Amino acid sequence: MSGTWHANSWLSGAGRVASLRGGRGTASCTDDQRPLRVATALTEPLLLGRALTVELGPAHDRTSVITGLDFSLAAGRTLGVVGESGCGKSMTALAIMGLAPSPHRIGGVLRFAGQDLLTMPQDRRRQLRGADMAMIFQEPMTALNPVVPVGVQIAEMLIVHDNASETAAWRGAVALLDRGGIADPARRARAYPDELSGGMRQRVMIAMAIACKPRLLIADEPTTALDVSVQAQILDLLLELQRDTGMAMVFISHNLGVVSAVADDIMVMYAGRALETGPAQRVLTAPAHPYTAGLIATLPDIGRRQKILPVIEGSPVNPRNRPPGCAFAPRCPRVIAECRTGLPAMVMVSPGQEAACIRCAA
Amino acid sequence: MHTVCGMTALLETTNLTVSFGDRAGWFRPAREVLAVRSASIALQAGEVLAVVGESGSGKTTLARALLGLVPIAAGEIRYDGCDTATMTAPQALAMRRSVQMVFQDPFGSLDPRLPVGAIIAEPLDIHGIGSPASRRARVAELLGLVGLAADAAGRYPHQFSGGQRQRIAFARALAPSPRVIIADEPLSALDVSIQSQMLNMAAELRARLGLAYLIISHDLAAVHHIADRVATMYLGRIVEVADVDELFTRPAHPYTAALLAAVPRIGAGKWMPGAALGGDIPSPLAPPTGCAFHPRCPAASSLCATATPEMRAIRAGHDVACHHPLGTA
Repeated sequence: MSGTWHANSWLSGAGRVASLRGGRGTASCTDDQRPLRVATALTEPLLLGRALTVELGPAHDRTSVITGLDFSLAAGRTLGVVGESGCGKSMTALAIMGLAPSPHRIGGVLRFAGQDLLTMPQDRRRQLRGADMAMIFQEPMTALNPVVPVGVQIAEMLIVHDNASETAAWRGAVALLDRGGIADPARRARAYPDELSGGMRQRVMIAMAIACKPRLLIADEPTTALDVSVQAQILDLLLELQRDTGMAMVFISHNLGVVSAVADDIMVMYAGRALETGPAQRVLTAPAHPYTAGLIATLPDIGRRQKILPVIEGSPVNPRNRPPGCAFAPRCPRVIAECRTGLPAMVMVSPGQEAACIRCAA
Repeated sequence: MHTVCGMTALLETTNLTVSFGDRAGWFRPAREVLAVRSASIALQAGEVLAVVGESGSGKTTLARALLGLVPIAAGEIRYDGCDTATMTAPQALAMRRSVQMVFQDPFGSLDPRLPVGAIIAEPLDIHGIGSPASRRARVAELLGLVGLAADAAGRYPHQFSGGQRQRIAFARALAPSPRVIIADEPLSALDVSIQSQMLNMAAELRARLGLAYLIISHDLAAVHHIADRVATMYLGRIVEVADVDELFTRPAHPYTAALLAAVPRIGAGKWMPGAALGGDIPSPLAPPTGCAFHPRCPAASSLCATATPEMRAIRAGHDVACHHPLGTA
């Protein structure tokens, strides 16, 4: 957001939306005018990644943070991405959004609605972002601008992407807050982020993300900073929105219970790679990879009390110093000598369920 | 070391009230927030008591008051039967040795410029326990207790992962041989696979050293795993206390029941929208009249809006502050 924008919105009072000046993309996000939507091939999923690789850092010092990621996501469905810190799940989201920190190099295939995201010019990518694909973040306090009323921040979306007038955008923002389940939306739209509770801030983030009716919503740990009761409300809201709009979701979380509640399919990541993929309930109830099985077993579960919890020894490995062979081998209870040398390929273990483990292949 | 004032619970509060206030400004009257309102809890020796509730329910303030980190407005705290307000200096010192704290964020709670050995030895220095040589031996022993190698003493916090740092924080808390460890969200900053390691370590240390824990947590599954008794807090009040299995199978307060229902569980299938507890926790600046939970409560009656329910026993060892407790109709 530009400095002009802040000053204007500050001076113009919270009830009005300041005008935006200069240099902005003006892609519309009303359905009939969306130029990028036409090209979707009937057979191709909405989002497709093949052998996706993300390397960060300048050319002389690149670190591979994501390696060989395959995924696909159809409209109306949810892909849950789980893993521990540093496994690359957030970086996957940023790569899809085109927000990976520079300098970076992204390889492989990344397609959205039939278009190649990796070769797309930056300004077209910018038109997609916010309009066709939107993202919500873990900590809404840092993702929102603290000195701009939340209604103005939402209205900005409609002005930038939808060419809406100030008054129409403001009305739209209030309607979106209402859709986000915020009581008294006309008053709340004038509130600054610090005047709202954590749950309401996340609702504002969601209202902003759905402003242009995106076809893909990426939610990166959207409930991690929230209480369980508020988490339940946010899950309610996301699933309701998905049912009404048919948007696809990439839902990133370290919380397997939450992922189990929302995801159709799951991708379990470790040190920048997918270790297991498949239908969510299948992967969570009959995990094939020792890492997935270990993660599920270590969770204390209400109703199944154990004296001592099974543990995965050691700590998650950083993709920067990934061991040769299977990255999970140093912590794996089923490790054999071959695990430390050869990189395991994905093998099918049940219909739709694949695991990258040579012990599963055997 | 322990001057016995009376045979009671190890650490106990009676009608504890903590208030935060600010002075009146030019155009603003003075405001007062009662962060904890007449809370009475008792931690027995060797027991694990968990306090659960949403953020803003006062559970962290309760823990801080027990440690003497915030002044109390009313009520009393007794350690080993002695009122902390009237304790002699040696008694207060003994209490501070015996009640130790583990914080949420192992990245913020360890001094980045001290080697781990010095961090762990600091409580020993402060309380003048042992000679320098015996302190070094004690540090090595403590590192072993929390599952770290003895050579960790010479390294700095940044050289350790989050889980290892939380182990260091635990070792520091154990240094002066406490009887109580108060842990405020000790797991929430850790990875899933590390949390179970910490839970096992905490259970093992408790068995070995006879520790009592007061654990503040919003992770109900972890609480169910480790706690003996659980207290639910809402807007500064303790609204339910019961043994862990009793509370999880037969919650009597609608708030506790709603919290339990909100936990998504693996293998439970897809989330069914509509079951969530509505609204947010109200502002403690303007708490609702009567029962503070009544605006969100599915079972609220007109009585709930006017009269504040008192804590009462509905079953042996199960106390609840509710006019219409569940499962008793």
